[in-house]
Amino acid sequence: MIYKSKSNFQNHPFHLVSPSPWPLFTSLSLFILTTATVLFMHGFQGFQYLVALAVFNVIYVMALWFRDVISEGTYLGNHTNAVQKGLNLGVGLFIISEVFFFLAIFWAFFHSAISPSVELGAQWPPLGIQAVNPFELPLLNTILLLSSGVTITYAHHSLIQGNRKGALYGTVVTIILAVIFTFFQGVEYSVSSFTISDSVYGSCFYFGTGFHGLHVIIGTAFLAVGLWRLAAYHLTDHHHLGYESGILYWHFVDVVWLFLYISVYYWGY
Amino acid sequence: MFLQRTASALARRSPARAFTLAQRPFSSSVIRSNEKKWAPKQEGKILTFDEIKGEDDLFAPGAKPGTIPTDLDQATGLERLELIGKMQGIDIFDMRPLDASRKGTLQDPIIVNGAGDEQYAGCTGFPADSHQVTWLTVSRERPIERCLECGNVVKLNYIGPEEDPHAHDHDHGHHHPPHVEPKTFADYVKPDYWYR
Amino acid sequence: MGAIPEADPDEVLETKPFKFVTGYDARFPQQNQTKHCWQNYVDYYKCTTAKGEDFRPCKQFYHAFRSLCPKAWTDRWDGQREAGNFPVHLDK
Repeated sequence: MIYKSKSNFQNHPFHLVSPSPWPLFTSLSLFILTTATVLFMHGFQGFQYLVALAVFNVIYVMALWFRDVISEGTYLGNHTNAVQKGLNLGVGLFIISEVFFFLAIFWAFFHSAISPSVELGAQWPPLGIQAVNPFELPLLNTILLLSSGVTITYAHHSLIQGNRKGALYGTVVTIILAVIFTFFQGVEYSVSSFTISDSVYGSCFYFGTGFHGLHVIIGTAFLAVGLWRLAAYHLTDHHHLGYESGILYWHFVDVVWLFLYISVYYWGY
Repeated sequence: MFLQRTASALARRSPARAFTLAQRPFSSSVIRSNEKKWAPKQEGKILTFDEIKGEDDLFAPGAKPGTIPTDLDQATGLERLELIGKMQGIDIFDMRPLDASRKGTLQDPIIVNGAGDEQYAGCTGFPADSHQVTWLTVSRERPIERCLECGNVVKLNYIGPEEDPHAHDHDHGHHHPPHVEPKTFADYVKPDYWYR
Repeated sequence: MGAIPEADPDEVLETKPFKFVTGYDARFPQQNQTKHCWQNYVDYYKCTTAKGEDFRPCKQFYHAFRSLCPKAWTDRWDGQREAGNFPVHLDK
């Protein structure tokens, strides 16, 4: 700080966070969640209750942590330009890591699908697998997701231009489209003729679409938090990094779906 | 432009939640019905950079219900101080890189501004980036430091408060002996050769 | 792939002349010739299903997979055809 009259403020723009229990609590919750899920999937009795409890716990700790971050950023003004730059970089790196996560899933798919082994009848989809018709529900889902990309862009531009109603409605419509997509994927799963244990086709199909669906659910929650903060006057026309990160994440989920649709549904049909 | 905004923004009323500060730990925030507790403890106002003396001067008035707030309407704390400074053309954190247009010498060192007892300065030689970064620590006790890589000399220019209000708290009543720097060979060089 | 079948101790071992008759096939340019072997096996049984055992041109596929495929593989596929779970429809 070059102005001595401001000597009762910190002289650097960075946010030195205070000690917080949430990283430790999050780690413990996630540890219990993974352990309980593994035991449940191996048929240990009663562990479905621990899975449910652990899921609740993870969400609860996340809510507490996010609440702290929101108070620091919105109510205490700790998120200066330098801090926002760091947060933005963190979000970008996180999404790049997600890209590589899905790259691995697509690698597994193409490894099995480009040169199907003789045990599958040297064909893809393997003999006996009735693949999902890409021009039925998956095409509708593609349209839903692409439309949600349009509505969230409308909401974002409305926010930047100071149009509160447009931002709120745009986000609400996006979340509704997202929920419909998730519902249709659930329908697709329940009527499909193959399961995750039906050959490498089933494994790759549910590996890819399942993790995509999980990301859709997370993205929906991300946007829902943005919607709440929009309604609660947390977001300004310029400073809305969490909301913008949610939008970026949503576009990422959207792009992953396009790749899934083209390669797993359409090419693999 | 700034003064015009000030006048119009002052006339606005804001939704109470927009700038409510936590008056108690959030961990006990289950019941939110107590309106008095959550009412703002003071009115937010827009002050110029020179009027801001402490944290209480950084409460914003907030946005009108039904509108999207701007940063000027709503930013608080350090974010607000930075914003108000920028609106008046003042970069309060001075994030510019150090002067690298020349190599500092003992007679004419590169000046490093610092508001604390210590300041780290990174040297990459002259011209800039001609060697790997070397981190030099200049302090109020030893304001001059010389880069081991290229011989560049940097000097701390202390710009912090006159008296550090926390300086007396460090002991916590334990009364440790004060830290004395160990003697080195440099301390036995003829005083004529000392740089100070 | 299936285990190598036990040799009959009473059987008199006789070395027969072996001739590799499977030539280069541009559909299978790779070092790994698994699919090449497989394709000839499938083609032979499709051929005989359509044209009958005595249709001489089918023998081309027979010689090809007999000289290219490991016996354990073809034994396993024979078993799968008999059990009806061979992963190709040979009658289509």
